[in-house]
Amino acid sequence: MTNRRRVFATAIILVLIGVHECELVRDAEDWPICTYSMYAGLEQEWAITTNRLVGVREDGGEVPLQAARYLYPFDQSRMAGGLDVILWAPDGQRRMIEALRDVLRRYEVRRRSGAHDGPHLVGIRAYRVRHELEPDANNFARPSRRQLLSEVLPG
Amino acid sequence: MSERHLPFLGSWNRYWFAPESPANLGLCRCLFFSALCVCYWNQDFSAWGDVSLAFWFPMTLFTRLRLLPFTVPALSLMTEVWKVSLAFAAVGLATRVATPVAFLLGTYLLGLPHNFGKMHHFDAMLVLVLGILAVSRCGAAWSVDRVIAQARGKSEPEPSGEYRWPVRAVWLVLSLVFFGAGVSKLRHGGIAWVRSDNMSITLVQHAYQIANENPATSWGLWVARVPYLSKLMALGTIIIETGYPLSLFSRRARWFFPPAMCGALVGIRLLMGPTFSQLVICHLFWVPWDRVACWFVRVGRRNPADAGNPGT
Repeated sequence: MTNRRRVFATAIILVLIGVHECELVRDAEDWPICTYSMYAGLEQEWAITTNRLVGVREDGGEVPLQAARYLYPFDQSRMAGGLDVILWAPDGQRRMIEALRDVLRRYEVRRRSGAHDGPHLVGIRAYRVRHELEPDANNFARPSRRQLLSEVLPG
Repeated sequence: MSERHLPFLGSWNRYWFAPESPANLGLCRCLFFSALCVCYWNQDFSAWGDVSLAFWFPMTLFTRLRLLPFTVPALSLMTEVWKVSLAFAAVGLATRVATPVAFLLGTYLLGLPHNFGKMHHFDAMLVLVLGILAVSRCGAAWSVDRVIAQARGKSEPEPSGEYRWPVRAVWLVLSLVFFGAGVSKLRHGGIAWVRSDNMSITLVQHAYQIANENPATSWGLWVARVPYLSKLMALGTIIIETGYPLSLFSRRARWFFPPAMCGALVGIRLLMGPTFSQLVICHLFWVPWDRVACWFVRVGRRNPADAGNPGT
């Protein structure tokens, strides 16, 4: 191994240590250098608050859009987090409407192509829901609180 | 400055650059890229080209490099090229080209979804490992490149530090990441992260479908009902994560922390849902595959069925 290559490899090793330690000290996450802070927060309340999308059928009934095949390429976690970030943005409401239209459009395109077997939807709503935790999670379909964040309906 | 003047330099050089045969690194490369092929063969990143920019909140890396989502056809092409580069790197064909391509395209494609609202952690480490392999000489053994070189009359590569440091650099990345995760928990939650109902609550929360995948079993709810079991799990997590770097220096620790971490990652999938198969794949680098291969050869030679066959 040449000296030049040895110095190069040493530099890589030192940079890896340096950037990771910097991120750790800053408590920051700059992908792909992450401190993997997931689950690091302390959960103290037996409750969960998150964002959910529901589709609106022609008869006005609501259909939960939890499954990844309905939200593709999003999954439920990324969608819920994404809606949160959008809400906090300065132009949040405008973005939210645009985002909901986008999800509904993709849902319908994929439904028509046979990528999923969900019902035909004419609208979509975003809710913030809160569940008081139950030992068997039996109240999953019955949140204790539900706040409408935004909606896209026909007409 | 020489090793005589700086004793630390001697230890450093021995640790990272003691001469080693290329077999282990070659096998690690082969298995790592093969596992990535399996993991990502059916993945299509092109759909992100069709997502509204209303969701676009770029991460630092994408902001600094001014990267945007490409169109669907462009992303589709990039995905295919990336998969081919993974396959080439797995078999060791044009490795010096395949591994940098796998790294550069992988950084963009794996990073792209994290700009749409939420950053997941499961694939960040892959990018770092791809980067290490991209600048290593990992195609020197167990590769088509080696077979071609042999056919052209080139001699076997000599043992070198070139084949040692990349494997250890992957160990280092794993250690830094898991140590960071452990410290993060202690910083944000303190000892209450273990002693309170934190783990029980987290387990039940995941039954409400909040992760990228739902829990593979309902065992999490059962564990959550037994407070001491949840606390034991929390304590185990902290010990495994903060103690993980010991594996860098102790052979004994290597027998405990990496397998325990793989167990914990599988446990997360079963009890809570999130998938961390990419992190398990990175653990391939802890196994001395050259010794495993030698062991198989020895066992094969001892096989009684081969005893009477001098040609074996």
